[in-house]
This record gives sequence, structure tokens and C-alpha cells, in this order.
Amino acid sequence: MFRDIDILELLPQRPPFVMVDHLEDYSETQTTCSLTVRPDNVFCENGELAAAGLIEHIAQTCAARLGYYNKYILKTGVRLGFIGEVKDLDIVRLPREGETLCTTIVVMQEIFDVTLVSAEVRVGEEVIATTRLKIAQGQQSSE
Amino acid sequence: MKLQDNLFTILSQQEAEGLATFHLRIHPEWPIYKAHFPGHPITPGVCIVQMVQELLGLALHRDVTLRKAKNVKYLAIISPEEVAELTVSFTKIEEQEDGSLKVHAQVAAGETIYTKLSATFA
Repeated sequence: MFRDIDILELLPQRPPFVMVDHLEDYSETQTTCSLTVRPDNVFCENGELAAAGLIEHIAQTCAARLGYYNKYILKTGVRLGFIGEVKDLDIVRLPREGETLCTTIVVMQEIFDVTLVSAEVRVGEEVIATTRLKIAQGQQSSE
Repeated sequence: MKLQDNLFTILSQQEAEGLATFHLRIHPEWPIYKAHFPGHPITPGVCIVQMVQELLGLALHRDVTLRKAKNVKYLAIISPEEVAELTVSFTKIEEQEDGSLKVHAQVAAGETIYTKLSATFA
């Protein structure tokens, strides 16, 4: 089960800058991750996850997909990743403490080390944010 | 987490034709640099967004939050080992009928532009 994988195996980020709890589903073109918003999250303010935390959660969903691919399919190491562009972001509302976000990214284009995805963040059935992200991969993580 | 006085301090603030420009010092000892990433400190792109959000709030004397982004383009990585100071310039702050703010901002150091943002805050 994807959910049983320790997320730190897939990500180059380390606590307290980890914005994904679990990989929920993986395929080469579509991946879903979850995050429960806890009060000790570095991006939590006044009971809400700030916009920056929400975007980072989406970016780390992309990182978890790439981490799974690099580690379990290519059998190489996890690589560093960077946001190249945030495009057409629409935040309907910010997530609240205690809520569990479920985020699905769909790969639109992948050229060498640059991936373009569209993303949807849900709380239950409610879509709270959508965006497109361009993610660039860098060198292997030193962890 | 407020980034002011954690990730950066404001060295100076100027205003011309209602648009603010901030000159900042970056703190390489910020603990998040150890997590993003171990051995390779890089300023998280989303923290640039939050930095712009906090500075916009200071310029307008009220709290603002990001609602939409047409685009945020990251043109170069900001490594705290190489970049000690940054300039954040607002080139457009336009209030819409619904009270939201259309904002253009740029993050640079000297001739190098690191980030360009076109977004709506509320």
C-alpha cells in the first residue's frame, strides 16, 4: 500500500517543512497525497493554513510522485525539486486546523526534468483550491 | 510563522507614487534552511509568496491574504549562501470593485530578477 510508505523516504524536505502526511495513490500520470492541518504546522496562523502552506502542500504532492518514481521505479535516489511557476492559482478558502486535505495532481506535460501539472485540493467533497504548477528537478538529495 | 524577523529583516522602505519598495536582509541562520534542504539551503518558493504577502500588508497597514495568482515565476534560486540582500518592489497595487487587490511585484538583487508575481490579494 502506498499509504504505508514513510513519506520522508519520498521527499527531500525535512520536518518542520514537510507538508504531506501520506502518499494515497500513485500512477505515472496522476498522484494523490493527504495532509492533516495541525496547529504546530509552521504555516498555521489563526487556525488556518496560510496560502504559502497550501501551495507547498501541492508542490510536495508533486515531490512525492517524483520521489516514488525515482526511488521505486528508477531505483535511484530522491532528488531536490523546485517550483518553477505557479499558474492560474485559485484559492476558494484556506484550510482550517484539523481538516484533512486530499490533493490530486495530473501530469499535463513532462519534458526532461521539468513537469507541468494541474492540481486540485479537496476537503471531503469540497474543492478548496486549484492551480497549475511547473516543477523542476535538481541534484540528488544528500539525505 | 511570520517571516519578518525570522527569514528577513527590513533595512529600508521607500514609496513612490503610492507603490512601496522594500530592501531586505536575508537571515542564512533561519532554521527552515536546514529542512529545505539538508546540506543545500534554498529559500522555499512559497516563502517568497508569503514574504510578498507580509510586505504588502505592511505597505497597506492591514492584513492581506493571497486569493488568486495569474502567475508566480521563479527565474532563479535564492540561496542564502549567495544572496544576502533582496529588493521587493511593488509595480502595481490596484483595488478592484469587490475590494480585492490586483498586485504586481518583483523580487530582485541588483540586476538579477529572482521572482515575478502577478496575483490577487484580499
